Amino acid sequence: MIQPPKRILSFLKWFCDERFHEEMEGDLHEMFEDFVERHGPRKAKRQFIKAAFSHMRPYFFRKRQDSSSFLTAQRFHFKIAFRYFERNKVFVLINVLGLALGVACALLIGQLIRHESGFDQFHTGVDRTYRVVRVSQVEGADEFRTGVVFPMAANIRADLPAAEAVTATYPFWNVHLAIQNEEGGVEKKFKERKGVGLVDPTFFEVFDFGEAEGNWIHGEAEQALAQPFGMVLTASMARKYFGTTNPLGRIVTLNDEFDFTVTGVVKDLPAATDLPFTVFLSFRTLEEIWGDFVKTSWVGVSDNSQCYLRLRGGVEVEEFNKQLAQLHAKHVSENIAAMRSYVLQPMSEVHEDARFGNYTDRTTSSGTILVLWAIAFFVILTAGVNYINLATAQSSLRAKEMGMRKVVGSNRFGIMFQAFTETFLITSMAVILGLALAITGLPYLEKYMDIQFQSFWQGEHLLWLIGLLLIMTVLAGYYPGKVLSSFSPIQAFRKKIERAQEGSLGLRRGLIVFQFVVAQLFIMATIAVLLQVQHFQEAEWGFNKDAVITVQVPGASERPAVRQKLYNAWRSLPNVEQVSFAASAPSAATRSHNYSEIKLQSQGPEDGIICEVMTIDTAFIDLYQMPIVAGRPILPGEADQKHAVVITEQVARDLGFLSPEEAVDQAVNFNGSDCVIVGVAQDFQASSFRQSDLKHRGRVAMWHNPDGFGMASLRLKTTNAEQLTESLQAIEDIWVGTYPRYVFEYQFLDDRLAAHYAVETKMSQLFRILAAIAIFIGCLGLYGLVTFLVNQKTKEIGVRKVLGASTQQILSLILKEYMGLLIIAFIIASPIAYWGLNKWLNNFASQIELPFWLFILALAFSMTMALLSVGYKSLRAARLNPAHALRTE
Amino acid sequence: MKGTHLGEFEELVLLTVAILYDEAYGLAIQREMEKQSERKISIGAVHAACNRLYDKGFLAARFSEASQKRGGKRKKLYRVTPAGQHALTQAKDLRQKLWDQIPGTAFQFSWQG
Repeated sequence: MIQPPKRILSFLKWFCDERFHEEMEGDLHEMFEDFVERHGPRKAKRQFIKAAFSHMRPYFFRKRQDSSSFLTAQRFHFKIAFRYFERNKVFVLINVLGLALGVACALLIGQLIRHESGFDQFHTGVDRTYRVVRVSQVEGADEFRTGVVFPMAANIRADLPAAEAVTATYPFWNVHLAIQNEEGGVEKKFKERKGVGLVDPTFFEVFDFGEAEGNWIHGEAEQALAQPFGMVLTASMARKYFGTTNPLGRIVTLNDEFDFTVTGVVKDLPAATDLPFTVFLSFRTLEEIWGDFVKTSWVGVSDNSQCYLRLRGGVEVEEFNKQLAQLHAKHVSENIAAMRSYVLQPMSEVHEDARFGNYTDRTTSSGTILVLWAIAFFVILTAGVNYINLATAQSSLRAKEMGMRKVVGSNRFGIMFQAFTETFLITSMAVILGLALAITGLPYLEKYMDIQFQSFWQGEHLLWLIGLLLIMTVLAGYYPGKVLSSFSPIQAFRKKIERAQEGSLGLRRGLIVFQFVVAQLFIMATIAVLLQVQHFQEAEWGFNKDAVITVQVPGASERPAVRQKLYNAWRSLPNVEQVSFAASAPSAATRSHNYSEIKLQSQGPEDGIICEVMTIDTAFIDLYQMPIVAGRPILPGEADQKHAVVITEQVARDLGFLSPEEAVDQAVNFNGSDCVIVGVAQDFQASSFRQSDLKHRGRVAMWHNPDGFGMASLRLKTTNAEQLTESLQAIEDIWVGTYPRYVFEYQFLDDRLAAHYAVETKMSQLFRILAAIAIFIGCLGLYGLVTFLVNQKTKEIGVRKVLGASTQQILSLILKEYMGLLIIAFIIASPIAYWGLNKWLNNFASQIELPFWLFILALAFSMTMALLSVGYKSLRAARLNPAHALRTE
Repeated sequence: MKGTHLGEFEELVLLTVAILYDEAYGLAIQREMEKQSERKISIGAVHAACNRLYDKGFLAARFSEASQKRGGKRKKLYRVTPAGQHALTQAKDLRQKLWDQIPGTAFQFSWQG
């Protein structure tokens, strides 16, 4: 017998209300049979479909939860949720707290990621914007530098039409600015540690900083930086110097020497740029100050002299690199052309590639961004896991409630929805609280990281938040909902849920293990970073850094006689032990490095080695108490001071001497002149500990050259706070008397050295906070699990006690479980930590060995924390009167 | 209870149910109506009307015994309730009243005018 099409029938059943089903189906069926008899199956089918579809009228539509009844149900869900929350305040509190902490962390890390990965991404045409960088072959290895020769930008502009816009940049550090009033007198003095730089008039053509309406507030883009001694200020600088945003035509004297005229004002630049200029000087000024060599020198390079350009659309980078090579070869000897090459580096890598560095002195590799993502992800995940854990643990206590609901007609879907409603409410509270926490914490993070973040309140950001809320609700609510709705009413009332729960117990154990893996990883990382920072602090610098202050002094343009006067005056202060002038301190986080070749005169031209040139005076070695292992320091009044060189042991070794003594009195060719090695100093730490900073492996050669002095060091006799203040005041008074037009600014060498590992110090502090949060969240999870377990085992414990078990035995019965989980977590976490931390430590030249106790300490610490959170509940359970326990049915 | 207004189609259905007396179920009503009115009537419309009349209290319903035919489904058999009868009478009376008031000349068509 031919049956009517099933699919049509089931479709009909789907959209029609249940109470009509039987009548419709029956009549349609009968109709179909009749049709088949009369017209045959094919026509019958058509007629049948027509008849079936004649039922498509609103009257029959299934009364699904139409809007009003849906709202009623939802209102009911909310009501139940709130009642449940009210009865389980602790549950709500720990969940909201845990999730909120996770959300706050993730939001802050997200801000950081957004900031770090957004550097210089706002310029129009940034995908065609490049920096010209230099790769040199030095002793067989590639050396990556940012500096290009001064004429580079001008020559690219003239000769290579593939570049659409080109600009040279050259920053100055520690610039003294004297603001002149209308009459030509000095009105105010400022010192800018950074932000002052020379740029071409085309600078804002290459970089528009995302300003669609242009960057200029006052002045003409083409003219303002076209003439020498033109100065353009950002709006906030104009206000700082002049109290007005339109100081066009005013005069500013730089370093007491050069008068610049303000020719323009531009909008402030965004914080996330590696071109952090605030005072722009016209690049042509350099020709006036330094002469034609700026236009012609194709050999001497300063790393600060950089060149940025934007290619025309469709130009291949490879093709342009070839043109650059030709341009370079045209101007230099074959030898240099072979050794050095200039290539384009995409703008997106300027903030990323640590090999080159940038003007902000801070790069963030994509690896770091990835680690940040991972941290944010794991923190959120542990918080979410926590919720799942606690909610499922609670679910066994709600079995009866759910059973009752099913009896009175609720289905799985309704209970799932209840679970989602509860999760949604908790996550919403957590997200709101987390947002509040993040907003409160943001200024601290900004101050701490010395970063100015973009605004929090951006559409995109809010979308993220809502997305996070929904994802968390679905992910965290699904499993507890599934467990809750799976209870069969009969089982629920017979209290047989323990068995039904076995599976979810396993999952919860897994989640706990996961949480503790994360927590232990953070603990291990914290300890390791802490140890490494401590290692830095205790490191042998190879010189005495205590009680030394450094002061930037005016350079070679100042007369030596004035400097001598300053030296004498400072020296005569009772608390000043020694004064020295040099190019820089022997080591500091930010100082300029010069490298040159040193070569024994007895050797061939190929045998020279590259080492750092340190320009010092005769008091330097004495002031820093550098041990001399052979020979002598450079002496005052030495007839041929200029040609006396003190090298480090490393240089002596690399030059091929078996002992330092052999090096003494050897004639060398150093930095382009004939010199004699007069002494060998003990090796000292001239660079930071990072591998990437370790150029030429501790090779330093010191010589005496008054033209290169830029910094004074003073060793004080006292560290007593009161005397210190007094001495510093006296030192400043003398400075003001000597250099009235320069701002006095000093730094303790200790601080400048600490800046070497400032990043690591910050990292250790951040990790400490993250570890605390991870542990806290993990312990909340444990608390949840123990609550569940103790509830479940009440009877078992009672029976055991009746049979004579002691409180200790019962305690250990409960605790065994957790210790096992912790140890599993430890087994997973330690190899990961070992691998990751060693990878990190390899960044440093001088690194700690990861001690075995580090891992044990992490385990012990997490165990203690676990015991503390589990202890109370289990102790209470173990001490419960068995009569009480056995009565709970 | 919804409104008790009796639509034209509903009135026909109600009358047909009365005619069929004990054998009034969806398909039978549709067939009878098609036969009597000589026009196509969709089964969906009949079902809707029957159920509406049921909602209004003009029809009572019961299920027959299940049989092998009709895919094992029972027939839903309708009967007119007293309220239904009352509604039918009212409708008929209304019509009668209206008929009675039509003046004799109303239907004398003048084909020229």
